[in-house]
Amino acid sequence: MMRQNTPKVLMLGWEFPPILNGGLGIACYGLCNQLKNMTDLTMVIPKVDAQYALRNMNLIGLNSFDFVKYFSENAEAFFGGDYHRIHQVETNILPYQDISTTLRDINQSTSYTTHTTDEERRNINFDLYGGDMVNNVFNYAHLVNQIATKNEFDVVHAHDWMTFPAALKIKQTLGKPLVLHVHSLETDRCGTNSKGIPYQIEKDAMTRADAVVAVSNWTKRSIVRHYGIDPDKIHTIHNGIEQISLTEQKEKKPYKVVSFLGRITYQKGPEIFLEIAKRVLRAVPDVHFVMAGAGDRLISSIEKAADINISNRIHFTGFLNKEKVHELLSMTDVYVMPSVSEPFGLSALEAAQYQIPCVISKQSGVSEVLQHALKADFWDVNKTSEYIIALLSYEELKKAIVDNTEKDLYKVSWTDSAQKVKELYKKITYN
Amino acid sequence: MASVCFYFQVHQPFRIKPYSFFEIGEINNYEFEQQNIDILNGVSERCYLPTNELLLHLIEKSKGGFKIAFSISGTALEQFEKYRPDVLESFQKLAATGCVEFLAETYYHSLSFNFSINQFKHEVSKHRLKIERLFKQVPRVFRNTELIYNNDVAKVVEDMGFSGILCEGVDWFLNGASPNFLYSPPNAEHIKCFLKNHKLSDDIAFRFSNEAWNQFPLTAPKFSNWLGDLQNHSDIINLFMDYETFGEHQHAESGIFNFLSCLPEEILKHEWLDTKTPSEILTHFESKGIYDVESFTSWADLERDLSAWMGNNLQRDALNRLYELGKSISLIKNKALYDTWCKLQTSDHFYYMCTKSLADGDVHQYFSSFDSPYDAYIYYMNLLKDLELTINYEKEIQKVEKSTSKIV
Repeated sequence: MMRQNTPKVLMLGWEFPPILNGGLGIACYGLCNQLKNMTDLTMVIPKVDAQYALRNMNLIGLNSFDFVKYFSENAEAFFGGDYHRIHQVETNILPYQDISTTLRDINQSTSYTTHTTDEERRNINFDLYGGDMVNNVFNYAHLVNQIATKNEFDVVHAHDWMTFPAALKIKQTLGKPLVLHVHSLETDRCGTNSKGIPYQIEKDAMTRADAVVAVSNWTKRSIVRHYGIDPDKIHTIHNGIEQISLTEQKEKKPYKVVSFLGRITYQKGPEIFLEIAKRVLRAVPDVHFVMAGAGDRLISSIEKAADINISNRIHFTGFLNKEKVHELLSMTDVYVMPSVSEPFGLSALEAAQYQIPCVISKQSGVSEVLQHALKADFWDVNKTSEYIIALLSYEELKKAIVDNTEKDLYKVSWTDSAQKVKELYKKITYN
Repeated sequence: MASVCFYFQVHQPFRIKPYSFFEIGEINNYEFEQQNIDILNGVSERCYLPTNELLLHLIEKSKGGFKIAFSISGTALEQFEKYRPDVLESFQKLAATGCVEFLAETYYHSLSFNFSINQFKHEVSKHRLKIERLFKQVPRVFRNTELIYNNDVAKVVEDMGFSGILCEGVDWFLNGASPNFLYSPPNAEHIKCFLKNHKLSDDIAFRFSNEAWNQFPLTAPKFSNWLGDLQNHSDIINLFMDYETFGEHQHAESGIFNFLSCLPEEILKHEWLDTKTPSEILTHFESKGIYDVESFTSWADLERDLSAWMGNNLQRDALNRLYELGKSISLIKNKALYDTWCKLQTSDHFYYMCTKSLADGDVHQYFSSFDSPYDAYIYYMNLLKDLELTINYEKEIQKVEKSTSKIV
């Protein structure tokens, strides 16, 4: 039974600022930032950075966790009340891998469950972001389980498949209610036929969880269709967004800029973006396209751009940090997200905050939130091009989309999302 | 004694196709002909033909006691002539009974009054002539597109020789007065206005099949009793609605045809109720007072103003560009181009661009053949661009012709 109104929550995350490979880390941070005011929240992630500490919550990084000391001391001191502990990261963080490389690692890995002895565990390299992903995932599970057994909490809340084995193990040992939060599915990342280890983990965990949070109805439908999970236990809770204030004037180029921002992987539709660019250039020859991001399709995209003869109008920036993203968005006229399957698509909300009209794939969660974005099927190069051309040609259209999208953005907030998550905790802990 | 005045609006626009930016300068045909044919066929089978047949039967059965009025837009009449002459014929049969009055309106169902009075007058005359030719009667009563109305409309229409004009009975202009009388505009000599009784009209047009409505199900005896309750303190009860209410907006399965088939008899059961055409009403009743409307009203949306067609910048941008082109088009005197331009004036094109209730799945999208109001705007602007190029090209040709004829 949950304590009155302030449930104790053990949250399991993988990405957290400054580790950002996509929307997962930003979403976890945004949600925690509100949820910590409504719950007694402990978040366990592979690594912490003092810069991203949040008041009123325990943020534990396994990299800096002294297990020997911890288990010999009074656990209350560590988890109780207002206390938060942040350690400097001393190990070098390997660059977070592209999901595609990660997947190759996983597919080469032979075992689904990994057993480590106590001895091995003591010698764990805490850099869980590098190396064998599946091993990391199960090492994380063992360590988190140890922390969990020493503590009192009402509910476990785990984000994406990397933390699902840990969550399941806790449910198994302690029988606590389990909420799984799905920000992205293996079927989004690798196509609907993928049946690899991450898929198996997702399916197994979602089958056994008490509740599943999907970041969109699009994701909920995928979970039902591709994983056969009972729709009644899947709850759609859209992501929120941190409000920003745009003070500085936009830096305008003498030519128009159309941007793509995201991992350059199959899921994000980079080849489709190039087809779109090609078509738009036929109508508006002086527009420039930017593909910002890195990924396994970057090299082939550069080759393709040369192949279809648009190299002089398309720019590949590689991975951009926050400041560079800001710079890019400040000069962007149209934002395009032609994702094949996008569980949410926070980057479109960010672009919208910069008052950029968005053309987004209908196969995305964010299209449920941005009522006034222009939407086309991801494969519909003609329609998407038509929209971009219109936005570049008709000033009134651009203004209308930006104005109306601003109203959409008012309705998006992490406070609302956190409130819904808290309601869900209540529901499953009282059952 | 009160007279019930039925008026049904019949309209079909020439819908445009999703006209790509890449078609500009390449393709001059903007009409989505197949879609127009498909929709016309569907509405003809579900609404026009069965309802016309039923009304004809009811008029014959009542031995002339049941009177109604229609306004059929010029674009709808053209489509009947072109694709469904059988539907036109069924309207002509109704005209021949002598119990059916045909009103005048803007030929292209346009917003021309708000942009060009000359264009407006031209359209109304064109429509009047068309009605005369097809139905052998000269319209005396006018209704503007979507009942768009204010004092100025009444004045202009009076000057064109009309004796009556239809409008919405807007509560905040009625100021507590009853819509159930003839009224006079403050600035006109003799023209009278007919105010739509929106409560009773919408009971049929919008609420008939709404199961959540506390009066559901609506029956002919019940509805006639409501009319009967008004008979002692009303002259007229104006029931104005889209003709497509019957069989289209309200499906046949809702029982709307049963309702309609019993309605005349139920009404005429009341000793002090009858039905009259608008022209008959003008000869029977006097004006009750002044109905003073300065700003524009209409029968659309909750706002009952022009916001359904001119509420956002996209709509205003498209309209301004269209009427800007209108100036050039009148100079070049090319009949085909003029006709194309005229059809682009139809208010439906702008209605589809309405963004005001995109969020709550709305009536604008119900009528639109486009996925979104933005699509409606984009395709419309693309084809206006093409029309502009075509007009400019035609101008050039005429210039060359002129200069060469001088040489000769």
